[in-house]
Amino acid sequence: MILQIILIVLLSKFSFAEDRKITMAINPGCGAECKQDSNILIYVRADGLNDTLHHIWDFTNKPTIVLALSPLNTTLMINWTSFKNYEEGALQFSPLPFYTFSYLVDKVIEFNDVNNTAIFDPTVYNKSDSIVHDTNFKWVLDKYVNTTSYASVTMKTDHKHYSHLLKKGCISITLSAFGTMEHSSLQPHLLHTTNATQIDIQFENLSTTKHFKSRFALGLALVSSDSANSTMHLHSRKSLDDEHSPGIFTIGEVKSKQGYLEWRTVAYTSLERSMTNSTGVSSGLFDLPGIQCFDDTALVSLFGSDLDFMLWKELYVSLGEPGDTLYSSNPFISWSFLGGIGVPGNERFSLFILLIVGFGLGVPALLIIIGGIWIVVKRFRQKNDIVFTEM
Amino acid sequence: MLNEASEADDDRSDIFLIQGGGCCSPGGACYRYFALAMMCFLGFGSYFCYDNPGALQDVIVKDMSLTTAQFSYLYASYSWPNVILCFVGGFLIDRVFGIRFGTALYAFIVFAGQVVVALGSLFDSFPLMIVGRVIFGIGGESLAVAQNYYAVIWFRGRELNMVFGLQLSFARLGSAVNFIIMEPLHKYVHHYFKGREGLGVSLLIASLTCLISFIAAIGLAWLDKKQKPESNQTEEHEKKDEVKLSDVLDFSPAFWLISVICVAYYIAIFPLIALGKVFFMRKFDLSADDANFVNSMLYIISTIASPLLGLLVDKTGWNLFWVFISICSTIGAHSLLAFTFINPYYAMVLLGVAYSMCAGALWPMVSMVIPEYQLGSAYGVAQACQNFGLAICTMLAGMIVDNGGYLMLEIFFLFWLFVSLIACLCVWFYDMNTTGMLNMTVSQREEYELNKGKNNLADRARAHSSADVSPYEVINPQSDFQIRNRYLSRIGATTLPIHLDPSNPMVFRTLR
Repeated sequence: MILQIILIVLLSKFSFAEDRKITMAINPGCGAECKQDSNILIYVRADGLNDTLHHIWDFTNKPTIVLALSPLNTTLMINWTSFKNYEEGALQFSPLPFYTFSYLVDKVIEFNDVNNTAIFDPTVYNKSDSIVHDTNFKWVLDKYVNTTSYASVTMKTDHKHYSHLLKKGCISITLSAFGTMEHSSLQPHLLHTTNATQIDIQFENLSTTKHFKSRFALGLALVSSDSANSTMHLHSRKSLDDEHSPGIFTIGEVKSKQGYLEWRTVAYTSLERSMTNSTGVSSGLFDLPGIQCFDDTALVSLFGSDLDFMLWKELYVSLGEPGDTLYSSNPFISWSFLGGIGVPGNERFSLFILLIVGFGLGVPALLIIIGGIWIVVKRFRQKNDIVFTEM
Repeated sequence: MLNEASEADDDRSDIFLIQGGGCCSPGGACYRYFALAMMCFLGFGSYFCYDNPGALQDVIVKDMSLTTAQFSYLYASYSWPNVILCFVGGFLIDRVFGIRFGTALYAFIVFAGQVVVALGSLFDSFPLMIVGRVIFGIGGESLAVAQNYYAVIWFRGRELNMVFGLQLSFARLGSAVNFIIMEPLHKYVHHYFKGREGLGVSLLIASLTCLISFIAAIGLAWLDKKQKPESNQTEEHEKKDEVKLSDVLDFSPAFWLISVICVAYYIAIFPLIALGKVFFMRKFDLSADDANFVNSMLYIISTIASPLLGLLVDKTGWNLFWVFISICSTIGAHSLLAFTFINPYYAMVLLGVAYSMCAGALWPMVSMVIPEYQLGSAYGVAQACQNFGLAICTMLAGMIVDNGGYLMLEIFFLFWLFVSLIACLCVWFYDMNTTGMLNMTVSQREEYELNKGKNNLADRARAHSSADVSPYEVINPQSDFQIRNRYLSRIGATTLPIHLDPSNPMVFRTLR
């Protein structure tokens, strides 16, 4: 029975996860344009057996992530001269991808959480109790990793920035692409497929406004290649399995037909990510007022006027939970989420758990059977003995 | 033997009759019930404060910035001293301190321990809290022994079982009340003191219950002195039957298997109570208050179910069968917690019933496989193993939560339950192969006793004990002693050393 379980688990591991080969390029094909100005556009290509997943990570302005699933032979062409002005057609896939799913980190919001709800609602908060920062900071490359099964870059806001927000601190964003389906090595060990980018975002030492009970929220703009009349849903579900994210059972999800965002409802208040240093996150999905926020991003260059016919929404994620330490007292918070094409990875009980349950049910069952047989045999023999003596 | 027992009982009743004047004079009934009330309060504080950390887990973890593993040390540090103390607690009262001083001393140690825990929080020193819990642990279990000792002295030959039951119910009530009022108390205190200070002050207020216990100990000493100006310690000195570690070599495999059940089963209960609050809050989205209420269900249920299920086991026998059933139900309850999102209230109620039944059926089995004169050692050893198991596994449980999450924790508990289930089946087979004693009905046991001659009995006893002696008392299953033992099973059935047992005629005989 145990062997059966092992087999099932192993088979299931291989059956639905298709490995991809990762190649990463920073500012691919950029010559003179990138000399004076260190434009940062990272292109990660993940080739599978049947299709290719393209990750475009654009940090030239607001952090923008484009995921595109295409046939194997599709290539991305970048016209750097026109991309500098974010002209339509500066980025082109040929042939066209099947699906795209994109999101940009649009806003960082500092809000005055007077009632200690830890929820930012853009329809409730006004200018006097919230400060909205666009994320068009100057982003610089901090470090990157590039192997055939994994690629990641860490981008940081430049120190020489004039924004009050970044006077002493910085925002850093780490993006990762994966060639295999597994749990991320970083808490909360999100389960990523090969069709997703993982984003870890970190607010360190940001300057807060005086008299504010400051917390931070993120405004993410989402664009899916679904038609504009379809919809996205935000929902949270519970997972029985918190093996990889101890103590965090709730998973937040935004799903469209073609793509998703997924996260565990946890943010961390120190560099060391542990349950002790964790707090909650809450989120709300809203209609995006217009597509102005996509101006000067790779989205305009890639989709151009097609954007009007795509599905877009705005997701607000507030970091923190009622009763925890405010950002002003502990100026650090980080949060991770996955954005991908298709459906999120399905959590399964680990082999270890199945083995224990198998052992626990198997051994007593075996004991009862063996014991039962032994007793029957013994009784039978005793009976024979009696018969024998009677004779 | 039975005659001897009743004679001994009569003797003791005579003593009371002679001493008893009017109802409310020393030795009178109302005097005795006043003492009983005090006896109940004697243990109240320690039981109340034992589960303080569990009731305030989220607060402690946050205010002291602890990992779950560190938090679990608060419980483990209670168990560590008791690995050794369960052997000597009774001895110290008997020989060194005397009952009156000893009880007051233990109650004071408990009080002091709790105050140190509170100070640890106030001074933001987690090590100090741990030291406090160790001190608290030193006093706590020994105080329970002393509590039983008093009950024996005051109620020997009378309503002893009722008294033991009442004491135990009161103790569980203490634990349950703790879970119900600590959260509101802390919330109230939090209006005036924030953070660690709020926690420290709450714990300090909780220590008042220990102060009440201490006052009860002094009051009881005073009452005791008034009732019996002459200390009865000379009498106790004659009853020598210490816990002897050399007895360990004589214990039968059945005893060791039963010990495995004791250790493994309780690992799945007490660490869950310790870590349950945050688990219920995180997985089942309960509020802090609700989580505590759900956690207290185990104690509330067992307050009511223990006597009833005890009676059921008494009337039917079939101890092994009941233990088997309760382990299976516990597996069911833990599976509900692990693999479903059904309100944990139901799982905890089931757990409470299963736990009460297991306590009622398991502990008396020890006295069926161990000759009576070795029972003290046997219970001591079983308890030591249990405290050792609890100390290690509570710490492990904390680490598992930090690194593997609550599902893993439940799997850990299930693993131990599977171990105890396997041990239970092994005892069953062993028992079938030897006397079959452990799973007989009461009438079968009586018949068994009547039909077999003494020699035969001796042989049967020998089958369960590799010792050269074969005391036939071993097959006297329904003595007061066992009934009492059922009542005494809290963390590890705080049992009275055999030489203090009044219902046992052997007490008044020197064995060697």
